[in-house]
Amino acid sequence: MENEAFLIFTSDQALTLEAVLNSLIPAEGEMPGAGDLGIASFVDKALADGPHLRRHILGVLDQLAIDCWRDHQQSFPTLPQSEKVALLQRREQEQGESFGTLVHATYAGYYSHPGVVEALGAKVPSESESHLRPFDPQLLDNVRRRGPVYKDI
Amino acid sequence: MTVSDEVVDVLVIGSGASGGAFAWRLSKEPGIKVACLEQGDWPQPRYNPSADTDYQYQSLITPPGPQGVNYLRDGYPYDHSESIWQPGMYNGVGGSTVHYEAGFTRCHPSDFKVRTVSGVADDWPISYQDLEPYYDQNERMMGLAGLAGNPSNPPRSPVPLPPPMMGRGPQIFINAFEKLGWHWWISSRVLVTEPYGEGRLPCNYRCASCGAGCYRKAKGSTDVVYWPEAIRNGVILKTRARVREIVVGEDGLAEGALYYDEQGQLHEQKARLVVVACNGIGTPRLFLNSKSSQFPEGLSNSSGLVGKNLMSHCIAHVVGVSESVNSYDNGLRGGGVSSQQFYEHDPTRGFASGYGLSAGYGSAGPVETALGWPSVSLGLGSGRDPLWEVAPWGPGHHSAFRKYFRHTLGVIMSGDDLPEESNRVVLDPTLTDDMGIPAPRLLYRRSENSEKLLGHAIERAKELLEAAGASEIISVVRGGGAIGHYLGTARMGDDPETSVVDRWGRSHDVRNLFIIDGSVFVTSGTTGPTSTIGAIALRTADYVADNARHLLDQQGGTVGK
Repeated sequence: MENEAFLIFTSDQALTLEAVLNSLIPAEGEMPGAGDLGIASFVDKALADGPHLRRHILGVLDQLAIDCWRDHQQSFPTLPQSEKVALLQRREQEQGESFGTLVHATYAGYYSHPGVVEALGAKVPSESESHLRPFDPQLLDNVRRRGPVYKDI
Repeated sequence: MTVSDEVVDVLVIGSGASGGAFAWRLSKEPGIKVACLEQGDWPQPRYNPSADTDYQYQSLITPPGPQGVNYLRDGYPYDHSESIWQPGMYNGVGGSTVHYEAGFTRCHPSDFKVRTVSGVADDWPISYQDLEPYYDQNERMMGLAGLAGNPSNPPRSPVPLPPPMMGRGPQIFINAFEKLGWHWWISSRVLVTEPYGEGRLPCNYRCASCGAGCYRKAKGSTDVVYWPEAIRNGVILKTRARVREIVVGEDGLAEGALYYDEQGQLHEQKARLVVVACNGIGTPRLFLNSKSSQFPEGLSNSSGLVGKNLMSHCIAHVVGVSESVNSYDNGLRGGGVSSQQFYEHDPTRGFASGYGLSAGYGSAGPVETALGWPSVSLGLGSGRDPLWEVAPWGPGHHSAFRKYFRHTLGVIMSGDDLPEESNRVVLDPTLTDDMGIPAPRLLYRRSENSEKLLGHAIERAKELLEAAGASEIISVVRGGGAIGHYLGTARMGDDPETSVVDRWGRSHDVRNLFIIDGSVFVTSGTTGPTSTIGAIALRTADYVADNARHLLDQQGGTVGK
């Protein structure tokens, strides 16, 4: 997160977002957390290119900041994980559409990240490596043998 | 002040599946001047297949359109608060063929004789045999790929193109169909598998959906297939031309249409013959907005049926999952398979008519899996709900994701929707577009027959998924209507009291007015309508061409003048 230039987020928002992302998709085994993977940059760029997303995602972050200081007198990244989850659940309940937009953006960024795609073995093959095969018409032999299934009017 | 355009012989309103085919056919007749008014513009297919890494980002930053579908623009508003389904129209050159999935199946002979076969609804005044040569012609033009010899249809001409390549997902279902002893066949789609037509490249299988248009022109849409040649042949296609009403003279004949251009200037396009191709919602909207002293209840509405009998298709999705199944094709999407085992009417089932099952898609990609979606084009802003739960965020996320990714299998069923006058399109009392043209309001409830049909189809889908290896059913969704299937609202028939147009699509009330879109359907057919809509349009175009001197002389003009 250091020295990273964000187009939309302030440095505080970026820190909060990184912690939020690590709560939405936490690290598990070989799979990194979304915040650690740098998905905050993806979300930041999406907000820059997709203004219709801003009120949702900035709205969640802003309200989260208010909740943190009102209830805990500290910032979101410094809270215990259980408190982070509780605050996010409240945002999900009270800002359903906006929270859903944040989740969508997180998933879109995480699961299109080249490192995640490779870890899942989901890389799209080149045209020469495609596993698709020509259809074998002989597979239809039984269907043909069973005869017509339409009404002859 | 109204601007008067140069008079033409034939005016076509709408440039989609029917308007494009009709205009093309008529453009081949020497001496007939044809113009088309299209509300929208030329489409800009997404040059960004879903298999590319940037696709998800582009989908995310594209704002939703006015109807909630994130890439469809230029639509007009509608009210669907009293309808179980929401339309998803593309108002532009090519119409809904720009965003459909290119499914292209013919109706069966029995689809035209529902009353004869099942004792309900009505028979069409035309038969499968009447449309057969036009099915052939439309399929050749649009580029049908598949295999002839399907025992669920009458014998037919050779299919123009070979079937597509196949992946893991369809192969799993082929094994399941064989296990059950059900009919199945390669899904018929107008998705070319070899270079074809004018600059059409074969599908490279790198898009999970055809719903955002086709940058390779592999998909058969009328903006790609029919319109280039029609325009070269002299058809005048006016885009951004929003028709307000069809004008009728004191003699009771159509004189043309009033439309707004892009600047909001009102024009009058006079014509000797008017042909309407605005789909089963747009056409009744236009007719109901075209009131006159001769037609106080709406144009060509002496039967009172304009707008009534709105039909779509009954749709349901069922998704199963199994850890032992790998149905993922690494972001590629080859050909699919479908079954018409339950297509024909069977009185022992307790409902009229039938349905088809499509099992064309295997497991969704990573993003779509996480978001509960089988298809990339139906994501944020699509106005649709996910088919299974969005993978939960938090500690349970990865295990939920692993359960579904690579392991899902989906079946779509599409069933016949029978006509009911209570299902209809009317004019909204207050909602208008930004030019003040009253918007349509949809009223639609699923009938008891449709509920029983869907119930049966869902149980068969579960049976199929079990045979395919699914250990758990994770989603059963009774969808609304099929997007793009708007039918029946100006039905054809021989009796003017029970129909709006005759067997050629010619208005019973206005002798130089035709309808060629899905409005003229009498029943919905147990399969997608696009192929049949194009065939009807080509047949009517032949009729107009063969009878041009008589039809056009009704206005006092002569062909070619």
